[in-house]
Amino acid sequence: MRAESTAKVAKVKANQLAGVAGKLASNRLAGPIVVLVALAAFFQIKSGKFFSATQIEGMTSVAASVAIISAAITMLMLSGEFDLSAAAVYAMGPILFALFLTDFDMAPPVALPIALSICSAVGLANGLITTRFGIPSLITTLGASFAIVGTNIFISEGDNLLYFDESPLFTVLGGQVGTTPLTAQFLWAVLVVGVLWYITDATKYGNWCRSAGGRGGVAREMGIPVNRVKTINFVVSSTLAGFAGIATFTSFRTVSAGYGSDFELLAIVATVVGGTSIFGVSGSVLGAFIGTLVLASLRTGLILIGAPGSWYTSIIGIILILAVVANIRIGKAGSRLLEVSQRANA
Amino acid sequence: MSDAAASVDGPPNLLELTNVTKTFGSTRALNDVSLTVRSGEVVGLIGDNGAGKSTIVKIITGYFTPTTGTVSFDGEPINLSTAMARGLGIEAVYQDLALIEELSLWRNFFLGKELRSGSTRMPLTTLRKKEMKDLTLRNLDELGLTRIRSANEPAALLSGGEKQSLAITRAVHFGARLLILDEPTAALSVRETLNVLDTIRRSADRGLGVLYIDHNMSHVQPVADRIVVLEHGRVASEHKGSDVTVEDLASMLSKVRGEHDPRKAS
Repeated sequence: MRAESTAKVAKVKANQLAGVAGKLASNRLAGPIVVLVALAAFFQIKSGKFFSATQIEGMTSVAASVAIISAAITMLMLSGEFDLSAAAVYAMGPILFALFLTDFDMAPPVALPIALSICSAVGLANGLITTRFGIPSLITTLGASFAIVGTNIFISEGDNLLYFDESPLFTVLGGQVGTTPLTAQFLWAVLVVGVLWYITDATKYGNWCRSAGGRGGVAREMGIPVNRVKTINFVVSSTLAGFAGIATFTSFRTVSAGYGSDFELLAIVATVVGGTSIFGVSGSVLGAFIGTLVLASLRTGLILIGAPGSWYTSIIGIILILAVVANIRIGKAGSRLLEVSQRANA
Repeated sequence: MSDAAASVDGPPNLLELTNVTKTFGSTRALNDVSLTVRSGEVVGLIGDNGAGKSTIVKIITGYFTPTTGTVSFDGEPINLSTAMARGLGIEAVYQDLALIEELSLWRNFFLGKELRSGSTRMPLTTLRKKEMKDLTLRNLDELGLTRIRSANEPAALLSGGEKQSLAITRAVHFGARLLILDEPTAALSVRETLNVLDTIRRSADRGLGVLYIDHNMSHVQPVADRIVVLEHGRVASEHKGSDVTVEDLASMLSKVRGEHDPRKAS
């Protein structure tokens, strides 16, 4: 009797364990967190100063821009669309902002909303063209990207634009936070991630975003304004890309057309590493943030241990492929484990 | 109400199509079709491909307006739009359009009808997740899907028939009054079909009107109170469900095929 009940308890425990493992796996956040912790531990052991103030400063300043862009791109990807024009808009925002400040003598608080509105207009165009003509956003935003990069070179006349005047807005967007190694820009990134995570996870709109990414028109059949949702997400993506660029500019005080030229791809890598499906519907903004930290750790960590800078680029490519494979595998294994534990409990 | 007889026989007509004709250019998809569905009643609509079944669905769900004839709901003649159909509680469940595979069960169940805390006029109020998950699980339990223990699971975990049943249950949960089922059991196994038919019957017993469209009469016959046979856009005959056998219906349909389809000449 006794042995039997012990065996029973053991079996229940095993099933519970399978359930927990399955939940973790299907949650898709566990993977990126493990990778991040492993990387940080590795670099810390190897160099002994991964967690130093200079390192954290470097890492967060790399991460801030990509974190903002990838948060917005995650929301867009949940609704089944891509934005390859984010990096072009990331440069366009500060170029316009800088031109408004210098050539038009605008005050920064006036120049900012105007520059951001123009960035929003790009997103609106991306959204309307994609939804009205029913073409893949890969094409719309790739086209937009080329068009904007050309425009950026034209309006900046190929120059580095500089601005050194003091202004409270610059401190708020890109200044150092007290005596911490953090820049204001990183706090803005954390705020954006928090807000978009809340929206995509805990609001009606988030549910609509996810449903819009589903295939076969189910969302439309349920009365969800799919085209409007997608268009809004394109606008959010462009506006935040412009905002991220301007925030970086307030910190570095210089901008050229080549600014952040591969950031949209890094943002997509971060999003995918963070567990968001390239087919839409499932994923999380928080995951993309962790994905961004993974990329930033790699970047600073590799330099720290003296690896050639070119490794970073190659490793990112390999990580992207591994992440997609792992997402698919882990997702499947997770549901299998859950099913097993549920069958056993039933 | 024009026909007082209806209220004597049973509940009044929920949906009434009167002499509906629909033409597309020179093609006449529907020709003088009259059809009624009452609350608590399953009406089977059978006919071959091209008989006009889909056109009827699109008229009832507000996607098409009839060329001539009237559609009444609750005895009131109406000009249906899709939004209005939804507002009146006319819900269509399609075979492939039931649920989003990758989306979690609770998000699917409450899609477009999310429960929120605080003022629902504010755009970004917090979802009442716990409550929605509990309600989703309760509905799954009622369908006998007790193996599903978490509403966070993606809908892909359900079989085709379970998805159909859940979609029907969802429509009932949100107060649908007329359920339109367009071939809900196509591509399902026999056992799954029986489960879906059971869900349909139980929905009707709760007082919903059900219009069940299929070309497979062996699915329709067991659950339908009345069966309407559609041929080339016309109502060819109407039967009480209990008065007619699957064989009768099959021979009716094959007769039509024989008369009009040269391929069947062999």
